[in-house]
Amino acid sequence: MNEAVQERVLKTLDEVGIFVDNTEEDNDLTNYIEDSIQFMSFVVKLEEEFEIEFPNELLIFDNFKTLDSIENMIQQLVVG
Amino acid sequence: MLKVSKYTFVCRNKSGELLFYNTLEGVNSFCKLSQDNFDEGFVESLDVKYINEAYYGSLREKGILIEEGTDERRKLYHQMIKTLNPNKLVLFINPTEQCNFRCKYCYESHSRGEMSEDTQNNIIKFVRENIHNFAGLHVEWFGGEPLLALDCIRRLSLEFQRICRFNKRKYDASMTTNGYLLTKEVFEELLEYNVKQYQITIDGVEEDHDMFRVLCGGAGTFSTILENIQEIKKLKRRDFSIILRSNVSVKNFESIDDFLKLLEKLSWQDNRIRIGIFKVGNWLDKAQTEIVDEIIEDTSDMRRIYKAILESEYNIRLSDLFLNPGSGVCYAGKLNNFLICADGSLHKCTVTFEDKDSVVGKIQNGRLECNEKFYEMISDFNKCDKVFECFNAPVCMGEPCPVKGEGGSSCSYFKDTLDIVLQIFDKMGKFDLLEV
Repeated sequence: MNEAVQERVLKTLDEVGIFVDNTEEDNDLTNYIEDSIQFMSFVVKLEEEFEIEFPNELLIFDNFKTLDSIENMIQQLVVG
Repeated sequence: MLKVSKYTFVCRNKSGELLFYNTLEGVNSFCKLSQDNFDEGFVESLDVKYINEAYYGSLREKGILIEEGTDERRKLYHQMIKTLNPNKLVLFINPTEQCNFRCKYCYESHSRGEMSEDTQNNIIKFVRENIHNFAGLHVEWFGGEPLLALDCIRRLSLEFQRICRFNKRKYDASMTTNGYLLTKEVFEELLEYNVKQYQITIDGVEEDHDMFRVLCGGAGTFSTILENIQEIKKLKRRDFSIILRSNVSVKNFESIDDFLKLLEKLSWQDNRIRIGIFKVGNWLDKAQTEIVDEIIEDTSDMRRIYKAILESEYNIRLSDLFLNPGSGVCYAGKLNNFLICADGSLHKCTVTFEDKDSVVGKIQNGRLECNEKFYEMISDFNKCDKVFECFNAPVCMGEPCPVKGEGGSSCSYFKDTLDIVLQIFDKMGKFDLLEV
């Protein structure tokens, strides 16, 4: 777990108006995302924040369930 | 023991497969069964004994089948309460009631101009003092043409964003615009204000559209709107959606194939764009005489339009929003949903807002001061005596339009076209073939 990356992910959630009140590892973040527009707003903000681009095949709710899974995708895209 | 849900609708596609849709589950229930897994008797009787038992589990997961003894009425009742009493504050705001268009079917007189600063201040104060009572704020920019009052939208948006952020409440917005002033630059600015859902109207190919939707001076509007949409489509951003509303009329019959070709080009490869098909409405009987004969009155004509879409070589991305639970209930009929007009008067319905008898209150001193008419406008599902029996009840909930009363024409319109509409979604690949 890279706390700096997760901090930035939480900041990004906050910026798009997704207010997560529990950052426990197993907390399902998708419960806070209301619709596909808000989901895509979060994705776009993450792309800006980390200067990456999520390929379409990764854009499914299940991949964005936890901070760990988001961090893993970001690490891979940054390296790739 | 399983049975078919009261809210399941079944029809067949051209290949003979069985398409299933459950109105209480919405589009998530879409699924289909190949011809060799059911017996003909099923279509007539809806008795599960005619379905291959191996598929019971997946049909149950989709909500198509339910356990005998399940109280679906209770589930529907809860869905109704949730629909009529959303936890979000929804404000329709007319920043101006002026318009640069003079559409031939428009019901508005455009007699009122831009919203005063005083009314804007009242809205800001109301939101600031009340947002803590709601899970979030949704604003729909309406009008008139809202983009004629961009300064008002700027000011209110920045305030709403600030207030919601401070109170940790979700804020989002949508806009109904004619699209004429929606250049790429304006669009990008609006995205920053969280205006991410748009409804823009295109009423056919250029000749047809320009017959209905003209500028104040009478000039056509098609080419400018289309150019704006095409520029917006070039944006890489994916966090917005546009519904292209098409008000179809008799006029569209002749040119339907060219129109579908255009809609395919705009929507099929771009999942940000969806198409909404409506019939041209003679709202408040205000359609101009010259177009009255063009209006589709009969649902068989709407079937003809949908059939053309189904049989066309072109694919359009039809919006599925109207197939989800509660989607048939008008925003006007819901609690926590207000229309604030340019003069600060409060209404529920965006069609009747120029009628002084439809005023339900006024925004003043930072408060929404409602009169007794407010509650008369809340949808009442008891208005339709068949509401708990009808398969369509989860969509329309008995009184989709509090102005017109129970189901009426929209009820038969929905039911009489549903079999073709579902086949269009099947053509779009939205129905998964069930597998064991």
